[in-house]
Amino acid sequence: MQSKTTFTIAGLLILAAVLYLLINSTGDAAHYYLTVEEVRRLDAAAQQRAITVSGAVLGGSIVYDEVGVLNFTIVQLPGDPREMERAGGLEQAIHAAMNDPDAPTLEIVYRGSPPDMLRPEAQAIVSGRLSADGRFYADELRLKCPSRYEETPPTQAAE
Amino acid sequence: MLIEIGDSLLMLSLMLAVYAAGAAGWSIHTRDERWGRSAQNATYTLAGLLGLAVAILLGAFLSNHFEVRYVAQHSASDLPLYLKMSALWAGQEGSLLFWGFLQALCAAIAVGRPPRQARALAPWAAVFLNLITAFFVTTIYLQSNPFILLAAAPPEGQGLNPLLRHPGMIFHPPALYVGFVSLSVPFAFTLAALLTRRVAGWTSALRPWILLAWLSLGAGLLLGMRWAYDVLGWGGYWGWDPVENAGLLPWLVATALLHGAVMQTEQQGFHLWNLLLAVAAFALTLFGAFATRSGAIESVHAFADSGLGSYFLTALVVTLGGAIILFIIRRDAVREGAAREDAPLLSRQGSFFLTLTLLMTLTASVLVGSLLPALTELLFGRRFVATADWFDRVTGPQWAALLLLMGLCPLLGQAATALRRLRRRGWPLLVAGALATVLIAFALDLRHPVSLVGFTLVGMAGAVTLAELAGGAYHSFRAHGLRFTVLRQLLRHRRRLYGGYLVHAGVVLMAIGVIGTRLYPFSQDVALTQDRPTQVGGYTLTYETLRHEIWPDHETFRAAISVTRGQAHAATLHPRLERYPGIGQNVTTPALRYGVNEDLYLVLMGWNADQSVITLRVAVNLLINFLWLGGATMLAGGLLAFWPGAEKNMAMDQ
Amino acid sequence: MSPGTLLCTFAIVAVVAAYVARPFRRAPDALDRAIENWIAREAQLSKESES
Repeated sequence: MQSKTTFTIAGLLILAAVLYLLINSTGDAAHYYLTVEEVRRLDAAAQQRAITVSGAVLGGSIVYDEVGVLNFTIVQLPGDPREMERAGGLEQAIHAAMNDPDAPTLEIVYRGSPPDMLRPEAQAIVSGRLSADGRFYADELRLKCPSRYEETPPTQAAE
Repeated sequence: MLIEIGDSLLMLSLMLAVYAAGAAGWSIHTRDERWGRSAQNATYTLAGLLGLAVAILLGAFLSNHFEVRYVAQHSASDLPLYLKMSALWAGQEGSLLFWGFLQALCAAIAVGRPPRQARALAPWAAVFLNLITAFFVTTIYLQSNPFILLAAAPPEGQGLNPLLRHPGMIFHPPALYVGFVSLSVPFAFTLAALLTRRVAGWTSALRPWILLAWLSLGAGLLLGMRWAYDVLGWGGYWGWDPVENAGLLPWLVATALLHGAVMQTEQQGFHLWNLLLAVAAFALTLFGAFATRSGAIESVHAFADSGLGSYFLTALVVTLGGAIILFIIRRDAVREGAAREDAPLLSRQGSFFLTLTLLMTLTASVLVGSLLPALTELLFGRRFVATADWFDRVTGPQWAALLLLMGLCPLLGQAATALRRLRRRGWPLLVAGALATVLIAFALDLRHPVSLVGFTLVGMAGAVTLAELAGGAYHSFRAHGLRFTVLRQLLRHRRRLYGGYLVHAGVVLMAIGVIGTRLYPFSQDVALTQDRPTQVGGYTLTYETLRHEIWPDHETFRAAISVTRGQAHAATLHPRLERYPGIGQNVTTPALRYGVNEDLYLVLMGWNADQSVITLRVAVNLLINFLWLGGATMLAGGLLAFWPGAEKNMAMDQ
Repeated sequence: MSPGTLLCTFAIVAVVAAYVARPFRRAPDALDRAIENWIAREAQLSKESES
């Protein structure tokens, strides 16, 4: 039927256009999603790219200065949920990470209004760029809404 | 004792739900009415039992029973009454229990008073609705039980997160849950329709449920947006966070379903669409629960629990798998039920088809974005995450296309006359609308090219919607005189039509707000010295004082900023920062000055040692109040359409 | 579980069971008719055995 063909073609055109948008935007506007460990292993070329990293906020590392620049350190969390359960749950894993001197850490520099959910042991999802001095300059900072019972962290890219 | 009763109530509810589903099924098999009525009674009782369970938990909150783990985690003695009540749904277990209760209540209403056209489907719907309730109760009982006691009662509770102490946050979760449970009804009836081969003629009977879902989800989303704007202090209202998306996805499908139901009422087919949409809407509800309550998808507000995630994932797989199998088995019934209308693309039916297609591609886009890390890891071995920019780029053109369709569709009548009508009446309206808004934009010095395209679409859609709203009224007034009673008659008999156009008007207003805030952002960090006026963003700001207040559980730093526009003093704003040393958390509360065309938004960032200089983030949010006005208008339109009452003359004249 | 809890739970179960089983109860007049039929049959039988 004539109209059915027209409809199908129109539908497919729309689908194709949206698919194009999806692929194009993923190329341009999506970030690498990495663990603290992976960020530290990045080479100079990757430093050009905007990336997103997540980790747990280290207690005692949160420093605000008077002009609104925030410094804090995040520490690597086990990426695999099974590893997390072996450690005895998220809280245990975070405690272990906090007390582990060998756990990879990353210093974050963020310029902006004091984030409302930032506190020790919160999980942070930070977007920005790694700079030559080894610190991560964040454009965007998201923090997991704090809750007080067992929770699992964001499943991170673990290879 | 009461808590133990609560626990028993859960077990009892589970058994009852399974019985209700079984009895309903048995009544179909044996054609024995008594089993059907017994199943009905069981369904009603289920709502009562779960309601009792919720009441018990609420009682524990109100009487400060901190030996209940959930109460200790979310309440404190000094919390005001209304916050103690809303703490019920502040955490994982309580919110899931509340959701389960609403699900049971919804099942009871749907089974007790099924829509007339769908009465034959009610027994099967009862089976599925009770199975859904059983699922929720099982999940709560095994994985997320609020009725757990601590070994020793702590003297005091941990209190409610300061961020949640906001009216928006009180009503946002219940609104969303009402929306979610309402979508289970069309789903259950869809499965029932497929099983009994009665695929035509009943979707529109379920319109009240779909509209309720649309209204509740819309209200919940808007409340969440307003909360984010008021409280979170980043000047925005929507971050494309996976949890936000979890509420948006079912809402988009509900919108599509509403439009599909209109088509089905007008005998224009779309049967298969509506059946699929009903299943998709419910499936997305389960997906949303999975996304927010498991750690699998990051988000700012996930409750997070890996065990819970697998429950919802299993439910999702069973739901989709079962539905697909059912569609395949009954494909002959589905095909024969569809009306074959021959219509060109440029017609009412054609534009509805395009609208539904776009709404579904939007849904798919948002879904892909939420799952992008998992998808990209699967396809490319590398994890990518979708930024807000990604979502804007992917969804922006789709929203724009929808806006265009909103302008064109009312102008198109039935197929034969569409082109003629468009040429004669449509074009002048579209052009006038487009020109008017673009000229206004230029006059206001808003010249960003993308925004001009947006404003053109806004103008076209706005002009057409206004014409439709006013046109009917004009004809009635012309025929019967300019009287209030005429207006009232009009509203009463064309409720659905006027409700729909009011919603469209709301969308147009919201579009203005989105264009203004997204395409003309202004945000600047400014250091203000005491008593020295500074020019920022068209305002003159003077830092006057910084007050330090000490409260039992927090300390507040409250700045007084005097704002001048031109020569006149506009306002004194008080952005503040609260420190909660017990939790180790800071909460910034922005100060707002509302204006017709923009909001001035101040956030306190820091100050120097002797408090002579403070740092503020100053944002000017252009046209943002159109967003809130538009949202309120949308809800008003939905409410108008939802209002029960006589609907005369449902066919579209003209 | 404390005895109070058990008692309350049983009470709730009883009420729920009664309500859910309600459609299966014989209607009162049907019961009366059944009893009358039985009496009539017994009367018939005793009359037959007499004659």
